[in-house]
Amino acid sequence: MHDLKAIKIKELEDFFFKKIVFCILIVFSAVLCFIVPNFLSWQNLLNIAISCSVNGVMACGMAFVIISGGIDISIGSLLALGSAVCVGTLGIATSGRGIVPNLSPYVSFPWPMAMLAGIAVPALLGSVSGLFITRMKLQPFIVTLAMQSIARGLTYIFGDFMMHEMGQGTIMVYYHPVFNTIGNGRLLGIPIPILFFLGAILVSSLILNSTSYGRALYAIGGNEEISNLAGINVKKIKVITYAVMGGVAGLAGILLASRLSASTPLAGLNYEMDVIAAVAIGGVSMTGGYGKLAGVVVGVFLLGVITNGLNMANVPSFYQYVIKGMILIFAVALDTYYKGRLEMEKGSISSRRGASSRSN
Amino acid sequence: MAETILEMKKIKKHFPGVLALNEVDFDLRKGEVHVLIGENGAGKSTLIKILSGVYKVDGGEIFIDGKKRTITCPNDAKTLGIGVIYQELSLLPLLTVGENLFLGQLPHKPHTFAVDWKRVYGESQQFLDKLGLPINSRETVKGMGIGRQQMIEVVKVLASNARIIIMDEPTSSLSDREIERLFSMIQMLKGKGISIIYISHRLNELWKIGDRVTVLKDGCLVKTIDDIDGITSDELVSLMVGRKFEDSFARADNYCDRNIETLRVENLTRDRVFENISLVAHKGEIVGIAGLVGAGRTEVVSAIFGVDRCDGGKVFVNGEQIAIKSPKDAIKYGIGLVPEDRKEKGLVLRMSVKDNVTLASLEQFMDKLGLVVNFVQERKKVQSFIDDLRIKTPGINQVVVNLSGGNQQKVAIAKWLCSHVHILIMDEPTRGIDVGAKEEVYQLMNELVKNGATIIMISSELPEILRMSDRIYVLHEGKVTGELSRAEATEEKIMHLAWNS
Repeated sequence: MHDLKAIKIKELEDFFFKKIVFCILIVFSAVLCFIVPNFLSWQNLLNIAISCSVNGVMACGMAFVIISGGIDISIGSLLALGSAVCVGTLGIATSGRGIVPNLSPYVSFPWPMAMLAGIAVPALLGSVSGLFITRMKLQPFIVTLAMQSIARGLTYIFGDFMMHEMGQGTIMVYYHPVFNTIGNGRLLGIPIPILFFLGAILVSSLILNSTSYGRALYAIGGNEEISNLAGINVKKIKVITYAVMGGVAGLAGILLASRLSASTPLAGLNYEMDVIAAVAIGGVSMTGGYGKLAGVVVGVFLLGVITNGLNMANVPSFYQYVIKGMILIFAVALDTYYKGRLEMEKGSISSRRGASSRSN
Repeated sequence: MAETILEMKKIKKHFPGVLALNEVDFDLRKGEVHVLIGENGAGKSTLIKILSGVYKVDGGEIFIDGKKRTITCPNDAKTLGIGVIYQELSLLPLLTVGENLFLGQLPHKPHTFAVDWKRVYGESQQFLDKLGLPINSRETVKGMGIGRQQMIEVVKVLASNARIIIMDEPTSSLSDREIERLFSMIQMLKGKGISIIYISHRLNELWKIGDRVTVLKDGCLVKTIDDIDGITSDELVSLMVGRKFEDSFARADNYCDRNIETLRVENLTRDRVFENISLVAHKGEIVGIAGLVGAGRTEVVSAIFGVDRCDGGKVFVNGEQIAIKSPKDAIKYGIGLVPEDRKEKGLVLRMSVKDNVTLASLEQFMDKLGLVVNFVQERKKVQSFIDDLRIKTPGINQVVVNLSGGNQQKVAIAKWLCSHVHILIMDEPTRGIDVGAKEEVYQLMNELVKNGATIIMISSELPEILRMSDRIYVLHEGKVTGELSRAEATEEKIMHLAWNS
């Protein structure tokens, strides 16, 4: 009898260790339930999910990039560019300063076309990053750092160009009944941004688990040379991955612009940090080759719940930054510690190898 | 008889699902070389990892100098005078020899934060001189050969006052001359009363430097033999694998069909690496490529497989001239490569057995639309390879890093069988795997050619070349210096051609 109890406790412990971030999410939410009266209300839960959806969509793309052994820090800028291109090409935007309702004079796309453009342009820039990373063998961090600057600049230039202004940093405002529905409408009672997030989760996990492209991502992140020797076109797959990341950032930009009925050149500033943090919290190896999408989703929600909970509890935003940072470190540290402990128990040597595996 | 300085009694170690060590006894005398042998997975590494504090022991006792000790972390082992030299060297290449020796404990000038470099280099030089090593303590490690680096590792361990040194396959990547030097160093250490636990896969080394030998099998102690001159290698092998190899160096079968030429390479050239390499291989044939390390063997097969670019020459598969620009092309034409360095180039260590096996051939498991993997089919196929190749793994989802070397090699071979290659290039197929697994790899190769495959095998072990090959090409400095048939090949002839003498 006593043994059985011990085994049960051990199993419970193992579960806790393996899903440590998930447990932190539950514990944190439980605490918030007591502090914040409305935390568990349906409306608040939906709010959390909506606020997670922009970063969540991007986190799915970022999971691809990081699993393949790369990183993309240009996504905040690509988001802004995507939203600017989409809103700008709709042909009905007005200048945010509201002085002259200046119709975008050059193009006027139907809304699906405008959305497509808002996805295609960042995807193109993403593939340019990918080409530099694979063909010139440059560090992904540096290339996407450069792309961050380029895309942000292009966003300002594009906005000014569309609005016939110079050096104003134009905010483009618009009203379009169909397009606004994407960010604010509901389908079957569920806000549409959440549906986009759910769609992204489903599609991404299908790709990661069940397609040869997904398998190739893990293989490349695990060991690029072996993947090449196994006949995987490493360069092509990497370029595709950065292009997908760009496209996904553009989509996130469209969601954001649709929700706000405007596109600002400062949209998505520093979003890349939240997205990378969510992926890291989700247990994806920053050196590539390992990670599950379920973890990433938990990571996104942990960040979302922290922000929402602290807002609802009226914690001043300066304190929020500190608390958020501390919770991040705490979560990742606990996760790493218990994973290491599990591996020690297994007697596996992979943790020792992991430290030296990232050579370039 | 010399005093016993280390005694391990009834050592036990569990891993989930496996009893890695079952009541193993082991002892070490002052100034002796005690050789530890056994197949991969026999428990050698586990035993030394317990001694060096990497693993915690589950049962049993350790006595050092007659006193009971507990070792719970690597630092405990260090203070008790136990030093380990692992297969992978741990020197920092950009630092000097002296800096490496004093790493982590650089002495300061009194009352300052400045490093006392004079003392660092002076003392390290003294140490090197005392051991009679012709190494300058101010030299950086980067340019040194593996042999010299290993000596420095030994010096580093000695500098921390180790009395027991554990060497894990120290000769696996050394040249013959470096091995000689290492052996004379071991002799000298013995003379100073230092005891050595020596793990090796090369049996002949045992009689050169060993005093006693302990054989492990499946986590159990088989036997400790005090009189090593009274035992033959055949007897040792049968102790290790529990069966006797009858005539372990003959492959009587001949499946070679001389009429069907599967691979022909004409005048393959890569500037300054190799030139005018011409080879032929037939259906059902094992073609051996012999030569010294650095003769360009690996480079030639990498070029055939499309990893490296060529500057000239033609490649024909099944009589048709083809252009191979990437490994992908090579695989398309039915060529597979099992590379030399399994861990760096053969397998994605963090992926599962299943994912590794189907890595090069995932397309064949796609559903009708070619989008999604059919897991049922994939699992079935992988399971059939695990059964056919007798891969020892807890399941198809086991991460390959946890498998033994022999089983990893089988997974690497299964990867190519799964993608239906008919020309398999194997670079040092049995390096670093134990005797029993070697036999299984040989058997597997035999079965492959029986089924009509062509195998091109690079090997540095002459007995292996002689035993397995139907025909042998010998390379010397990037050129083919000779071609020998099975009947005419002898160790002497190959060595002559390899040295081009």
